Amino acid sequence: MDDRTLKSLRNELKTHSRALNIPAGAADAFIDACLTSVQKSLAKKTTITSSDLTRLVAKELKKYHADFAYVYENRDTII
Amino acid sequence: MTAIAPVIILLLSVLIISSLQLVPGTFSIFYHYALGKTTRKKADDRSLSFIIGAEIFVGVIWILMLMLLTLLSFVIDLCSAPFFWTLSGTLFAEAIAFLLFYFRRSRSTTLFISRRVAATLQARASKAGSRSDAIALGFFANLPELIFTFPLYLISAIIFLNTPSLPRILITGLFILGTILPLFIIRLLFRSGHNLAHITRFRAKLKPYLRLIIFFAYLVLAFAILNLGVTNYGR
Repeated sequence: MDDRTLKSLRNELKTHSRALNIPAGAADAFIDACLTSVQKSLAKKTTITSSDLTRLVAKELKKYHADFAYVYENRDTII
Repeated sequence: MTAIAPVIILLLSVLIISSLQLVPGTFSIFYHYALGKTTRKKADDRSLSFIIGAEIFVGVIWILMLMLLTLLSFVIDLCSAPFFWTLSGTLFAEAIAFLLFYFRRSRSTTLFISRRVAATLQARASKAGSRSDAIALGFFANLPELIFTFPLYLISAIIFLNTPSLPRILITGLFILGTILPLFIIRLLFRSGHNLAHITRFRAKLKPYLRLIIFFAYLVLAFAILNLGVTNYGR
């Protein structure tokens, strides 16, 4: 994953965490752990679709905060 | 019975419009992103602007319906049986279209609107920063659902014009406030600590019941209008 994608993903996750009222420190910890894990999973892959990325991130986030994972995974299917 | 029928028709119309899901869905996304990008106070303020935009839409359509009916009254008799039968037929078609097409076949709350329109609404909801953006979003989020709400606005305007026994200010107030009541409820839920996940999960759980309730509400309304057509037969 390139730096720009990582940065925009991190910002998006931070926005969601603020909206969900997750304490900032905890949110940073969840996001860092999630993105590290996702980058490890993507290390061997050359291409990936956006929905695959969404699923991977949501799967990692589910370990830490169910609502955070739900909102991120379903953000494009609410309307 | 004759005095109750207009009240029931009006209440059913308001119930159906307020139960549709596009505007509450857009509002919940908008509020969520507003909470994420601004302070809670600003998010509350922007949410009120969204609701004002939705109210403006209802008010504008209400006035347009009254104007349309006034113009139509020069051409056709608005109390005649064929007119009511046409309306009733439209409502039967709406009921079936709602049951089959309104909610997409998925476990989430995706609706009939094209993915491009949904993506545009989603993008606008996530970016709406100023009050005017919020008002515009509240206004335009109602537009795609006009296909399901147009006959309901028309019927309510007919009740308004043809029922002198009902106080008109009450009808207008009930219509304009009743149709956007769910937005106030969602705003209250966000302010009391619920989040987008809770609200969306609840809406997803409610989906099958809502589909049936609104389908039957459309059917009952269609029969009520048909009954009006039968009682006005020969006019």
